[in-house]
Amino acid sequence: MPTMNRGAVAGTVMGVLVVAVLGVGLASGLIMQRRAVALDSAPAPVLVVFTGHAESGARVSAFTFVVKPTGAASLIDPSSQLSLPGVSATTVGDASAFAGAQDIAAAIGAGAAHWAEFPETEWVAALAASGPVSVDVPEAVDTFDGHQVHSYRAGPQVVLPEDVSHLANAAQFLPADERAVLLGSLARAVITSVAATSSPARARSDMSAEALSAQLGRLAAEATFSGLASPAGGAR
Amino acid sequence: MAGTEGRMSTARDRSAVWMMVILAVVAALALIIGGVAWYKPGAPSVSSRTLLAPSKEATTSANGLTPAQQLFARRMYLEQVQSGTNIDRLAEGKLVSFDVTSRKVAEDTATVGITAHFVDGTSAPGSIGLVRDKGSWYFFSMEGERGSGVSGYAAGVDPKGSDQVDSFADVPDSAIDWNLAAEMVRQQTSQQEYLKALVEGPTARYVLGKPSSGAGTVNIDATVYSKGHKVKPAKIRLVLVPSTFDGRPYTFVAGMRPLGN
Repeated sequence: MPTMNRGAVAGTVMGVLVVAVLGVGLASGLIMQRRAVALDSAPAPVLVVFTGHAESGARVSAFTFVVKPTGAASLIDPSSQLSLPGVSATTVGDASAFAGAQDIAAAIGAGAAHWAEFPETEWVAALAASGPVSVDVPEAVDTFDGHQVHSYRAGPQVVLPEDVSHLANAAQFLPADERAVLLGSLARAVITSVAATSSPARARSDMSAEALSAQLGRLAAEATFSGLASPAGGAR
Repeated sequence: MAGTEGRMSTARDRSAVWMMVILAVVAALALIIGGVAWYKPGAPSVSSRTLLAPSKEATTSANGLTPAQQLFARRMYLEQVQSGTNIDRLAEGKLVSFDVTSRKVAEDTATVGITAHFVDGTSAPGSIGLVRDKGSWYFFSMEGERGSGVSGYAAGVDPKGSDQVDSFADVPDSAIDWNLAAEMVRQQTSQQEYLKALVEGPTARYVLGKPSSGAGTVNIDATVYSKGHKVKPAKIRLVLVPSTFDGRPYTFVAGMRPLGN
């Protein structure tokens, strides 16, 4: 009899504990989801990083910009200096090889309250779905990706989705004003494609997919970038 | 009786233990579900996809070339290694122009005599070597002649490059950047207008701009003039590619392309 009582008591106690833990776990999830909704309900500037790869293959930030709640955006110059603890990269462009958008946002500030990061595979897929894109190439550029020379004439032109990455890399070597024109042109094409697809749902972000999609949608409608900013200074 | 009660007690204990195990598993699942929601508030459902850029490694071997074209590309690549010193001068912006002084075409090779003019005001004679394959001309080499009593950059031209490839046959295939070699052939195959004009005329003079760095390239914009200016000057770009051979940096002439007038 004493043995049977101990088993019954232990089972009851465990049952109560499990129910309590279950309740706490689920409740915490619900509470945090409500907090996320609360954050999204108050739109704030978001720093967006579209990762890419250099012609050498190294991971880079192809486009980095801050989108305001109104949809207006400012591109961050990839050559802007930044300092990340324990990271050898010294520019915004190179930082993506070692750090995520959250770290970059923290390092450069730029007034961003939120962050989002689109992996190259996602935005390239969005571009591929939307087809050839119109871009403005301010001067003739050439790149070599280890396999092929990619050459582009100067002027407005329609390019294939896979050309966007090469042109973004070429932009790094242009004078600042021409870099702003080319990167702005490319970023508009990418944003328009991304906003028209479900890509925001596959971005990494501290915002909900819905809130991020809405902010990018406003940017796509606005479709303007106010030149190149160097929030941390030290542009090349 | 005591034995029966003991077996019943043991069975109850086992039931209690199983109950605890099942409840513990349920509790663990609840913690995981709750914990995920807590750790990533509002995060997208898919966030663990790889962030690495896709590799083109497997799709493009050097080779889109036939075995015969590979031999041709190999020779072109190694001839340019042999001219490395002079091509480096070009990539460094030491040349400001060169004039075509003679043309010698024999079978499938051509030697275009030039006078190279350098930024320091000195000049030196030399030649550009081209090879023809299936009717198309390809840039292979750039040689200089050191005259006696010359100074400055003119004194630094290299008769066959200081980076001699003693015997092409001894160079292992693994030393060749096949992707680059193949692309050099492809580029120049599609740029015959300027190469033919160099070998067969009417090109008389190249005026070179300052080199600029590109993404994986060095670009030199140039204006090409014809003899007597009978043909409208053409604006072209020489596309050079920095690479390595035998652990040392070299620059290769990938091709030339129109820039528009």
